[in-house]
This record gives sequence, structure tokens and C-alpha cells, in this order.
Amino acid sequence: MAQKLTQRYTTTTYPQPTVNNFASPIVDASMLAVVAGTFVYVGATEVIPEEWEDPEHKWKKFFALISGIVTIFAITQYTMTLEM
Amino acid sequence: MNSRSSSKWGIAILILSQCAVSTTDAVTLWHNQKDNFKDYYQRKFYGSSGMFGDTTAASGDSPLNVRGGDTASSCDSTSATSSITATKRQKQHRSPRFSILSKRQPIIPIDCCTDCSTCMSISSLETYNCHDALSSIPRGGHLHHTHDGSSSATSAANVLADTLLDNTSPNAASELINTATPYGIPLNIWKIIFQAMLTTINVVCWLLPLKSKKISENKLGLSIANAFSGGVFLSLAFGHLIPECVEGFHGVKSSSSGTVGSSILSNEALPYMIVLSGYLLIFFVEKVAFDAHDIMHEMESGGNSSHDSHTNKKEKKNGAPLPSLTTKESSGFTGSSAVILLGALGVHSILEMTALGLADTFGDSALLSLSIALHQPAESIALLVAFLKSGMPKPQIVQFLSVFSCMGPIGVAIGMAGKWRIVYIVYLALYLQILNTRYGTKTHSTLYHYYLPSTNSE
Repeated sequence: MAQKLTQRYTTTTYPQPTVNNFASPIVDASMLAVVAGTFVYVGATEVIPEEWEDPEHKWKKFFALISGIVTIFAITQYTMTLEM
Repeated sequence: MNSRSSSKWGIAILILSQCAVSTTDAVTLWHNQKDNFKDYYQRKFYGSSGMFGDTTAASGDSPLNVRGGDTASSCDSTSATSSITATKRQKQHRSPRFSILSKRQPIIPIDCCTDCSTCMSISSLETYNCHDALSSIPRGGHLHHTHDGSSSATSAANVLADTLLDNTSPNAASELINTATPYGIPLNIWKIIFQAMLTTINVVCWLLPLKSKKISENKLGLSIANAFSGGVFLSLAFGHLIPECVEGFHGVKSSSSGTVGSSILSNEALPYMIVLSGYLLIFFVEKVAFDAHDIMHEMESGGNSSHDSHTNKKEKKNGAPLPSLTTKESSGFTGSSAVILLGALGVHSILEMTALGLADTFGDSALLSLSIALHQPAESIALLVAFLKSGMPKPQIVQFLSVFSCMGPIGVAIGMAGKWRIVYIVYLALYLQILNTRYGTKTHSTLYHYYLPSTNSE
């Protein structure tokens, strides 16, 4: 009986190491996804509408927005080529 | 072993020094501006009567003390745990990085022992002149990313690991990697140096603009910087984070092809839906669950002098005061959204710095710190702008931003310790603590707000 129990225990716990092996990257990736969602919220829902509520200097602000996007895009692309 | 003891001491020194640096920064700035802070509260809530001067001073004192004690204790506890874990698990985080995009914890191959993973990194292969074996590995060293012939790739990796294990022990391999760094300084010390440089860049990036009044009180410059930071966030989210987490899910999917969750994981829309759920989470927290915006706005428009001058200008332009318009215009950022932003950026920088702590060659860590150094100034400036827009008093801004700067050392320490269970507990604890401080400040200020009309009527 005890042998059977231990057998069952071992058989049920056997796949656990594999689960653990992919568990932390998936938590990592979903963490990143939640952070990305936060960034989208902050960018698209907080900053931009509240900054454009006041239409003064709208062209300068738009230029600043585009330059921010382009700068970060260029930096990420550049670092990606470095890591290749 | 030499590397173990050095990493342990490195972690301890790193955390203590960095925490000391940022807390002393905060404290010195606090002492410089203590009177300003007191004046701020007096102006804001009691006019210049000074009726509750003592209570404001006391309530102004306590948040710094509490928060400083908190950070110090948390850092100490992490250093203690990390020094324990560093001695326990040294081998696990020596596994190579598998993909170009995922700088996080690499996927540990299931059928390969972790001991030989040091020998599988490309640089060590090059040092052993295994060029034919090297050519069988796809570019980036990723073994599980080959969709057409993953089985052949893994078998090749097994053969390769076996041959390498026959030739050299992993101990010798790690020694070789350590001696491959310039000036003979061990890799962990190099990581600490990189990390110290990054933290100084970070602190300089928010401290200098905060100190100079030209920048922090320039209205047009602030709004242009705000628009720039909006672009930074959108571009970081769509160009950097989302591709990275899609890549991460891809790796997980291909490594767990036979297990139970593969049918859920193979769904292509899953990462995007998690992004959407993160958006909805913050949306819920901000707009649905705790809808104290109106109170905050009224308070801020009533109290902040810079907003007052702005609205006065507007009134002069329009001829007549428009109360609804002025409250709308003074909205900008609220303190709560700035703190939420701090939480997101803190988690992001911990993840990035963890990758730096995990890097196992000098070149890798140098590249990672370069890429972090390139886009960290934009992040910290964006965060600073968010805090400045919220109309918080400067000492409080300094406290929050030094919490943000503490995230980097914590992340590197976590990565160098390499115990993953603790990592996510720490993430969760930090996030919860940040949310807690947020609600703490909010209840604090709403209390003040409700206290205000009665004193005014008297």
C-alpha cells in the first residue's frame, strides 16, 4: 500500500520539473505584457488626450510626439542589431 | 569557489552602496527643501495662518521616515536572501541566452543538464574551436526556436554537450569566461560597475532637471516634454515590449510542445490579450475602482501656485473666468497616475536589470548595459515629467524617484542571485507596496481636503 502510494506520488510529481522549467519564462513574458499594457494606457489614454485638451502649440507637441516615437524606435532597432 | 564568494560580496556591497546613494540623495534634498515642503502644505490648505503648523510638519515628516525605513529594510532583506541563494544556486543562471529579443531568463532546456549549459554559449564554443558544432546552432544560439527541425537541433546540442563535458569540466569553463573579461576583473565586478554607472546616469537624469528651475517651471517646455514622453511610451510598448513578450511566448510554446498547457499557449492572440488585460487593469484601477479624480483635481487647482498662474493667464486671455474650463486645464497628470507609471517603469527596469545580472559573458553584459543606458534617460525624464505635472511637492518627487532608482540595483542583485521563486514574490511585493503608498497618499490628501472647508468657513 505504502509502495503504491509512493509510486503514485512519484508518477504524479514527475512532470513537475518540466512545468517549472517553462513556468518562469511565461511569468516573465506575461509580466512584460502587463507592463506593455500599462505603457499603452499611459501613452494613449493619459498623456496624449490630456496634453491635447489645450490646443495651444499643437504642432510643436505633435512634432515632439513623433520625435519621441522615432527616437525610441531608432534606439531599439539599433540595440537589436547590436545583439545579433 | 572564488566566483561564488565574489558574487555574494558583490551583491551585498552593490545593494548597500546603491541604496545608500539614493537615500542620501533623497535625504539631502529633503533637508534642503524641508521648509519649502512645509510652506507648500501651509499655502495649500491653511493659507498662511500657520494654525496647524505643527501638525503639518509632523505629517510631512512621517512619510519620508516611513518610506526611507521601508526601502532600507527591504533592501537589507533582499541582500540577505540573495546572499543565501547565491551560495545555494550558482549553476542555474549560467545557462546561455537563447534568443535575440528575450534578454530575460533563458529557457532552460528540459532534456539537458544545467551543468553543461556553460559550455553551450557561443563564446565558449569559439574558445574551444568547435566551429563545426557552432555552425549547427542557429544564429543567436537559440536551440528551441527552430521550428522545422527542433529535434535534430536538440540532439546536436546533446552530442555537443557530451563532447564538451568529456573535454573540460564546467569549472574550467567558468574560469575561462571569467578570465576573458578585460583588466582581469571578474565578470560580477564588471556587472556591478556597469550597474553603478547606469544608476548614476538614472539619478543624474532626473536630479538635474528637477534641480534647475528653468526646466521644471517652464510651461511650454513641460508640455512638449510630456508629448515626447507620450511618444516614448507608445514606441516602447509597440516597438520593444510587445515584440519581446511575443518572442517570449513563442519560446515557451516551442519548449513545451508536449505538455498540457500547449493548446492554450499556442494561441497566437494570447500575448496581445494579456497586453489588453494589462491596459484594462490599469484602466480599472484608475477610472472605475477608485474614482477620486474630481476631488484631486479640485484640490490641485486650488492649491498649486504654478497652476494658479497658468489659469490666471487664461482668464486674462478669455476675459471672463470659466470655472469648468480652468479645472479641466489644470488636470494634467494626477499623483496617482504618476505613481502607477512609477510602478510600471520599476517593473520594467527590474526585468531589464535582471537580464544584466543574468548575462554570462562580458560582451553580453556590456551590450545589455549599453542598450539600457540608451533608453533609460528617456524613461526617467518621462517619469519626472509625469511627477512634475502632478504638482507634487519636490521632496516627495525625490522620494518616489529614488525608489525608482533603487529598482536597478535590486534587479541586478536578483539576476545575480538567480533564484526565480523569490523574483516574482519581490515583483508582487513591490507592486503592492507601490499601490499601497499610492492609496496612502490619496487618503492622506482627501483627508486634508475634507478638513479644509471647515477651517475656511471659520
